[in-house]
Parts: sequence; C-alpha cells; structure tokens
Amino acid sequence: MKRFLATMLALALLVAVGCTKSKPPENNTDKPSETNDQTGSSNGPVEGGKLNLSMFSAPKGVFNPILYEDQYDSNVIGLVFNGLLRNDEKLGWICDLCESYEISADNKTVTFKLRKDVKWHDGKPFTTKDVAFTFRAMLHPDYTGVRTGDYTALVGVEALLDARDQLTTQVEEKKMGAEEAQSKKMADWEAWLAGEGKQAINVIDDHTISFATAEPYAPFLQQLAFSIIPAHVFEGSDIGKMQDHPATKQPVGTGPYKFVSYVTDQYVELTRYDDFHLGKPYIPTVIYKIANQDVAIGQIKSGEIDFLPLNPTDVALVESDPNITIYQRADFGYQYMGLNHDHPILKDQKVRQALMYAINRQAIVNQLLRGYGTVMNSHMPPALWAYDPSSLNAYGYDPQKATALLAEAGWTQKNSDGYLTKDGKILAFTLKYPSGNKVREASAPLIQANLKEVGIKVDLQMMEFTTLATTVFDERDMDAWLMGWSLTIDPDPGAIFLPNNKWGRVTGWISARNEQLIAEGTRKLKVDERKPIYVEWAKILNEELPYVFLYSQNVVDGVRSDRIQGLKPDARGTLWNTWELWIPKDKQ
Amino acid sequence: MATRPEMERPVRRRAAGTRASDGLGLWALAWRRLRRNHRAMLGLYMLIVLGLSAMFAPQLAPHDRDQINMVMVERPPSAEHWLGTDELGRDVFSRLIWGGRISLTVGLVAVSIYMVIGVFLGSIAGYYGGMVDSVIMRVTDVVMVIPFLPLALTMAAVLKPSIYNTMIIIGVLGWTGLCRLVRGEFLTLRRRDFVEAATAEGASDLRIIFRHILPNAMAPIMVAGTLGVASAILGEAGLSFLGFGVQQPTPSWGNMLSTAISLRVLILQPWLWIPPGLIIFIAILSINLLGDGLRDALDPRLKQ
Amino acid sequence: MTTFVIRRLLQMIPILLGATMLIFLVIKMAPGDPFSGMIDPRMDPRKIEELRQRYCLNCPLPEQYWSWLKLTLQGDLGTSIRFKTPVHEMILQRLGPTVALGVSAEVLVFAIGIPIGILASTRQNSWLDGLTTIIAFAGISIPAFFFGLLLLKWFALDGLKLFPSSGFMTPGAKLSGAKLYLDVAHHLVLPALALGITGVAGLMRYVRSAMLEVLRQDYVRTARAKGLAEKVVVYRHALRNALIPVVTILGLDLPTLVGGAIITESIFIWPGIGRLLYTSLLERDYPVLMALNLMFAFLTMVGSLLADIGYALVDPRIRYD
Repeated sequence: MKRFLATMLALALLVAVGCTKSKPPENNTDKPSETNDQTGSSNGPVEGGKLNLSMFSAPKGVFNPILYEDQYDSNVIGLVFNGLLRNDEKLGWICDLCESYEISADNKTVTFKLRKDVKWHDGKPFTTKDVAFTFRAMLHPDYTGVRTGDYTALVGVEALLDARDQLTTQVEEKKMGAEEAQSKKMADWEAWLAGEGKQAINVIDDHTISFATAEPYAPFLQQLAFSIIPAHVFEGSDIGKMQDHPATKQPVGTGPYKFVSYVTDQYVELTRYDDFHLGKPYIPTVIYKIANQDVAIGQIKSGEIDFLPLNPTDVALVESDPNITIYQRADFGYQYMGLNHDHPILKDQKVRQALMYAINRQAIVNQLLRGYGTVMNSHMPPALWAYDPSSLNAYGYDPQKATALLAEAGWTQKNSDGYLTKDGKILAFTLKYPSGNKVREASAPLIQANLKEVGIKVDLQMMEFTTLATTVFDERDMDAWLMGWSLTIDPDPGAIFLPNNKWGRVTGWISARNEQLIAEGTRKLKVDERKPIYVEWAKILNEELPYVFLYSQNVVDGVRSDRIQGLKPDARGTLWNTWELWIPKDKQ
Repeated sequence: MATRPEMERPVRRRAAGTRASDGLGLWALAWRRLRRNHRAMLGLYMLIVLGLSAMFAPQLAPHDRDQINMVMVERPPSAEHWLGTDELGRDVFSRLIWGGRISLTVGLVAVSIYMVIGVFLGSIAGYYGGMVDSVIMRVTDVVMVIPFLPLALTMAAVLKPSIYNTMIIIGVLGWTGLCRLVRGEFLTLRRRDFVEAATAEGASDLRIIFRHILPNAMAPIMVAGTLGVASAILGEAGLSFLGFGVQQPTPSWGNMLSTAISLRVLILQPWLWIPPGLIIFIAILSINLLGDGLRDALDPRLKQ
Repeated sequence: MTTFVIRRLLQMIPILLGATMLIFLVIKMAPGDPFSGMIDPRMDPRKIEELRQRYCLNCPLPEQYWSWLKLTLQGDLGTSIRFKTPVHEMILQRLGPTVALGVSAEVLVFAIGIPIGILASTRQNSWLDGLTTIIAFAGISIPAFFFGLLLLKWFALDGLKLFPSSGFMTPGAKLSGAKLYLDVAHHLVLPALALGITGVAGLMRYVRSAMLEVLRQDYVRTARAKGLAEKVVVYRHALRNALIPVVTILGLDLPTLVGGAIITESIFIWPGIGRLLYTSLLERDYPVLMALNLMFAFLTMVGSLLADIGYALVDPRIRYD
C-alpha cells in the first residue's frame, strides 16, 4: 500500500515536474526584445572560466546525430557536431564545413567544396568520405533511426523507399518472411548504390561532393545542413548496430566543444576544441546541467547556472535581478486545436470559423503567456520568413460574429441549458488534450468557457501525451484535440498538411489547392519566389481552417549577463555562438 | 474523553462492553462514549461542516465556480474574491467549496472500498493461517506487483474518465498494504488468551474474528485509513494527469493544489496553494480525530 | 522456520512467473508504443513502421512474451528502445544512488518516527502529542514538492548555503575514496530529508496508535501494578508488541527503497530509478518497464517474506504451519 500510495502522491505532483520541454538554442529566430547591454565588456575577450548551461530533462545519452530522437540529446549534439551549412542571422544557409557551395542551373544538383582545415576531435582530417557516409547511413536498410524520410528527394530514393515500404507491408501481412524481405531490401540498396546512388551522392574528390535530386526540392539545403558524423570511426561496423557503437555515447565531432562525459541524469561535461575551424573557444569548459525548472530559477539567481529557458509566468521571479538579462524571440512552433473534418458538426467551415471568433486567443497570449507570444491565424509561425499575417483574417475575439456564423450554419435554436441545437442535436464535441504543458492545460477550460458563451458544448478530456497521440494519429478517435508543432527553418509544410502522410491525413481536410501550392513551394529555391506561394497557401488555411490556430509562444531565455559576455542573440538563438562567448577574469 | 491508561479502572477483557446484554446496544453505548470525547466531536463537527458545505456548494459559493475572467487572473484575496483568483480568473473560494464534493467523495468512498477488502482478507488470512493465509497473501503479493501506472493508462483509454472509475481503481488496487497490516495484527492476536477463551465458549469463527480480535487490531487500521484518505485526495489529481481523474473545469482539492505547484506560486501567490493544502489538512485531521474517538468508543475493554 | 523460508522461496518461482505474465499484459495494454509519442514531422512515419516490425511490436502478445522470457531467463534484460542502451546497465547506473537515497530516508523515518511516536503515546493528549499530530498531518497534506523547494530555498540557494542545490556529486570534481563518500553524503542530506518527511509522519502515527493500544493491555497494567518503572514497562514490554505494524511497514517499504521517488529525484536531480521508470512509462519503453517491474515484483515478495520472519522474531508466539 505504501508504494501504491506513494505512487499516487507522486503522481499528484508530476503535473508540475513532468513533461516540460526546453527549446533547442540553435533553432530560433526574430530579434530579441531587449538588446544586450555589454556593460564592462570594454576590455576585450579573455580566456578561462566555465559555462554552466541548463536543460530540464536528462538526455538519453544518444549523442549520435543520425540516431537521437530527443531534444535534450540535440542540445549536446549541437555543440559537438557541425553540418556542411549553418544559418546566418536571417536564417539563410551559409557555409560551415564547406568553403563554398553551388546550385546547378536546373536547381537539381548542389555541389560542396569542403574546408580543408577541418579536423575531427580525434585529429583525423575531415573529408567527403565522412559526408557521404553520413547521408548513406541514413538511407541504409539496416539503419535504426527515423530520419530516412528527409532524403526522399535524392535521385532514385523515392522508388527505393516505396519498394521497402511494400516489403514491410508484405511481412506484416505474413506474405513474406522477415529475412527474405531484409535480403531483398539489401539487394535493392546495393543496386541503388551501384546505379542512381552514384549520381545522388557523388564524391568527386576528397573535398568536393555533390548531391542530386530528381526534381528541384527547396528544403534540400536544410536537409544537407545535417550534422556530419565521422566515417573513420563508424566504418566497418554494422549500421544496424550503430546504437551500440561506443562513439554513439562518446561522440567524436568537429564542433567547438569536445565531449568529455555524461554522468547519468546529472550533467554533460564538454571541453573546448582548440582547432575548431571558426576559432578557438574562449571558455575552456561547458557543463550542461540537468536542472529542475523551478529550482533552476534559484540556481541562476545564485549564479550556479548561467543560462536558463524560462516559462513566461516565471519571468516575474528574475526580471528584477540586475545580473540576469532576459532575451525573447519568436519560436518555430505553435499550438493548435486540431479538428476532425469527418465530424458532422466540425466539417462545416462556418462552424470552424465561428470557433476562431469565439475563442479569446488574445487572452491566452496576454494572460497565460504574459504577452510572450503571438496569436496564430494560419500555419506559419512568426519565426519563419514565410510568416506574413497582413493578408490573413485575424479572427479577433468576437462572440457576436461567431453567433452569426453559427446561425448561418443553421444553429439557431437554443435548448434550456443555453446550447445551440439543430434537428434535435446539440452543438457539442469533445476536446481531448494532453497533460504536461501548463499553458495548454489552462487553455482548455478557457476554450470550453468561451465556446459555452456562444452556445457550443465542449466536453474536456485530459489524457497522457502518448495516449492522446495514439488516439488521434493512429486511431483517429477524436472530435477535436490540442497539440503543438515544432517546425524547422525551412517552411515547407508538406509533412504536416499533405494528405498522403500520417500527420496530414489526420484532420481529413482535403483541398486540391493546398497540395498544389505545397508542391509548388518546394520546386522553387529562392526565398522571394517561394514566399508569395506560402502566403497564398497560408490564406487558404486561414479561411478553410483545418485547425483552429491558437498561439505561438516565444522563447524566453535568462542569461547571467554579469558573467557571460560576447552574446549575439538573434534568430539563431541566445547562445548560438558558444565559441565566441567569454567570461571576465573577475567572474571566472 | 480518551482516558490516559494509568487512570483507567481495571476491567476484565471478556467483560466486554460489546454485549447487548449490558442493556444498551453496542452502537448506542459507543455513541454515548463518543459524545463525551471532545476531540472526536470536534472532528465530527468539522467533517459535518465540510460535508454540508460541499453538499450545498451551489448555494454557498459566492461566485460561479467555472466563471472565467481573464482580466482578473491570479489576483490576491480581496473583498470580492475572498481567497483570490486562479490562473483563469476563477474564484478560489468557490472552487474550494465545490472541490470538497469530489475530494471528500473520492477520499472517503475509495478508502472505504479498500478498507473493507483489506480488512476482510487480512483478518481471514491472519486468523486461519495455513493454506488460507498462504493463498490470500500470495494473491495480495500478485496484486501488489501489478504496475499501477500502465494499468491506469489502459483504464483511462478504455473507460470514460469519471469519479466512479477513479474510486474503483483506487479501491480495487489499494487494499493490499492494509491487508498485510491487518493480517500481521491477527497473527499475533489470535494466539492471545482471550481468543482461546472465546473459542472455549463456543463462539463462531466469524464472531471471534470480528467481535473479539478485530477491535484489538483497530489501531493501525485507523491510521492506514486516515493516511489513505489523504493520499486518495491528493492522488486523484495525479490520476487526472494520466487522463483518469475528474476533468476540468470540475475542481477538486487535489487538482487545485497540483496546478499550483511551482516556485512562483510558492513564493508569490500563496493564496493558490495554502487554501487547498489547509483544507486537506483540516479534513484529514478531522477524520483522524473522529477515527481515534471511534476506536476508543468501540473499544471492548473500556466500559463505563 | 528454515523449512518455511525454503518453501516460500520455492513458491516464489511460479508466482513470479505468473506475475511477469500479468505485468507484461498490463504494460502492453497501455495505449501506444515506443514510437507513437513521436509527434514530429521530421520523423519518417514509414521508417517508424519498419522499426515497429523490427522490434516485433505488432507481433502476437504470447510470442512477444515468450521471447522476452527466454532472454530474461538467460540473464539478458534487453536493450532500451529509446535510450538505445542495455537495460541492466541503465538500472545499475541508477541503483546505487537510488538505494543510497532510499535507505537514508528510511533510516531517518525510523530514527525519528519511532521515538516520537512512542513519546506521543506515553503523553497522550499532551501538548507534545497535539503538536506532533498537527505536524504529521501537515506533512501529509502538503506536497513533498513544496518541502523540497523550501529546503532548497533555505539551505542551498537564498539562505544558508549549506548544501549543494542539485545532483549526486560535484560536477567535474574527480574525487575518490572517503572524499567521494563525503561529497555524496553532502548532496544526500536535503533529498533524504525531503523524501523522509512524509514517511516520518506516517510511521509516527502507526507507532503512536500501536503503543496506545498495547499500553492498555492487561499485561502492561500488570507490569505496572508490579511496580516496574515506567521506562521498563514502555520499552521492554509494550514496545515489542507495538512493533508488528512497524515490521509490516518495513516489509512494504522494501520495494520502494529501490523503486525511487519521482518527485524528490526530479527536484534534486538525483539519478534515480524513479525518474527512469516514469520516463519509460511515458515513452512505453517496454524492455525497461519490464525489467523494473520484475525487480519490484521480486522485492515485493521478498519484503513479504521478510515481514513474516520479522513477525516471528518480534512475537515468538507467531508460528507458520
């Protein structure tokens, strides 16, 4: 009983402790609201000291870029590894491990000239062999990670993956043995490597490599910016067993910091890499501490940690501290209320628009987010260059307009409880939402109350995250649900809104124009050519509303600005230039 | 008054006050004793107040418990909102009164369910020993090892979340520890003289178990019960986290407390956590006082 | 007694086997699998299907159970699907800190809970009794999380900076021998206090009420009547008989000593089993869940056996036939 009760007690408190996710520091945008006043930084950078970073959950210890699945592992991977490309302050793609790159006239081939001065942390030279190895590993049939889909655009890969998919289905239906299927997959793979694969990933010499896609594919630069792993370390061992390879736990990269150790559930220690190709870091040691979100506020105040992602509501606890500077920027993610378009009530566009007017989304941003966020009216969040709210209907909070729209949809009668009815049916649906994110949890009863005011009955059902994910995306057993997306720098929304994939299928929303525009958006490579397409696309979503778009929460970071100097916070994050940061002598 | 041991008049155990032949019925006698116990009566009155306020929540609550007011978010106590407002601007005092409905019901009913199961099985096992004991205790072991959290997830997905399901899952899985506790007591008590005496008098097994031994084993049962109510009240909120408990906007003391858990609330907004914490404290303290009083009142050794 | 213990140990084998089946069933029935929580457009759904097949997640349950059992009987607990690390390694890494925390908290519980419980019972209805009652119930009604935060605030962050604010040992310090133990002990104080508080409250109540019960028994009165000193009465005669529920609670606590404490571990960033269990539950990391639950099941049964032995030691009249 003790254990049972203890578990129950513990559960009562988990609401606070579980499931808070930090944002990766390298993935961000928009200008900080406050500029960094570099007080006391007049005497240039000095070496020495220790940078104490924090994250709110323990990494899994899978520090292999092609295998990790967890945001917390990526925090560490970001310091240890580099890709061919990195972002500039406008989130365009510039060279990191390359000297230059060139896109062919037909927009189908990208050729990279690699830097010749890059060495791996173990001293071995970095070459095209590493690059080819990394991307081939993710396409290998034995690969146990989940990133294969990013490289479908490469020549011949789509057919390769389709064939694999069919084999998987056949095994599932017991029409073929698993081993036979696996050997067929291997045969296909060998054939691709010997044929189209040579064009797809073409190693020209030790420092020149090109990648070819079947069609022009805009997100491809982003996919090629992926962290490169060292071929000489992993080569010769089984791709299927890469997760057991020591270098997956003890990574060897090219980044500004070398991995030293991960003490389980405690901290990750990193040490600077003197030969880092963008310059020797000033701070010799980085400790990535695992911290409790509530305790961490005390820890940053006492100076135990230097950097802390904050909840909007917790800003009040640190804003008066003269040693802490708060930076905010727009995020790549947003929250939405997904709708099942096969639901007899929700399939009506007028009803969906009424929902947008009836929910006081501004109040969520103002109160629950303390103003650290933006109301969303379509898919593209403010951090993306494709964001352009000017042409969108803003759906300001307007219960009367909602009532009018509902009346147009035939919902005019009210029953004794004040809910709208039509043909004897009540205007009602169930809203399922996951536990764990406090703002989202609080927004559910707010939505319910707002909708009740216009006569819509909402039953709330809170669920554990994985249960909800299964219910919605695998079983489609829902009317409406709350969830969020965390997006990439490239705005291509295909993975989320094309009805041929798992995420796009779930709403049941079908629009020919949607598919057309998404396809068009990936075929043009230039930002100014793509932007109008996405603006038009966003307008369709804004009108047809596959989801009720809710809000995008800003990233708010607290930094010990008395210690950490050299910050250049911008769209890339608050601490993206780790190797340029320094600590004044008296604060070391 | 629960008298101090050294002040009690010596009484022979078997001259038990539980006998109807004493002129007064067991319960009437117990009630008379209970009434003289001020602490127990204080507990009883407090429980009655809590129960009544929960029952008449619609009449008593000064505000609509679900009324959201986004311009009055997280305000400190005022004349308008006696205990301030929560993160959605809802009146904390009103929600506290309503919360008693869920929390007291879950606490008392769920714990009663498992007390009945645990006490019954524990008594039988401890009294009979041998095979009976062995079978019951191994079943208890097996129930004890059922992983509670995955089971709650499964049940949350299969059953619709409701307060009844919450009570059932707590009741059906919570009895094992109590069962061991009761059995432990019975193991030692069944060897005592008074049991042998009762057996010699020809009392039936059931009578011996429930009339003679059980009253002597009430002490840990009462404690387990009081602690159990506290955990059930708090744990109900944990079950909601898994999708199993009472759903928003219905308030419960547990979910009010658990949404308040953060450093910010602890330091800056005490009105969000002290009231639910304090009321849970009052509730279990009252249950405990009453429980202690009841135990004394029903004690066969005390006769007045 | 020896035959009893041997018989019980033998009984444990089939029961444990049955229990694993039940555990397996319950764990597998929970909605979702290790991949269903990955709601990320960059994760390839087709590859995920392929991986599900590779891990045999869609295979019939008896087949899955059988392959788990076969491996486990060979001493292989499998590899975590999400941590991509052998399960026994993951458990071993966390077992030391978990036991250290669990045992210190338990020692604290017994060292404080028993004497205070006795004191309260011998002075029933005194101010001391009232005060401890109130403290005990406050301890039970206020979440451990708040105690943890308050302890940190007072003793690690704002107030007296007596103890480190998080972790199991000082980061980066390469200590060994006695210094390492001291460092760990220094880190252990606050979490052990935070974890122990609820336990102290509970045990105190059990001891108090059991003592009250015993102090009313005839033989205690007889002892008193014989003119024995109150101390002798209380400690020699009464206490022994009040220990039965304490033994039960010790037995019940055995699995919790290694089961970890999610809240305390999360506040103090203690590398414990509790957080591992919780993470693997949310991620449906089956191999980890199975291994941990198997361990708990085993300890639950051992705890039950130890309690039975304990009863016989405390009260020689108790016999098992």
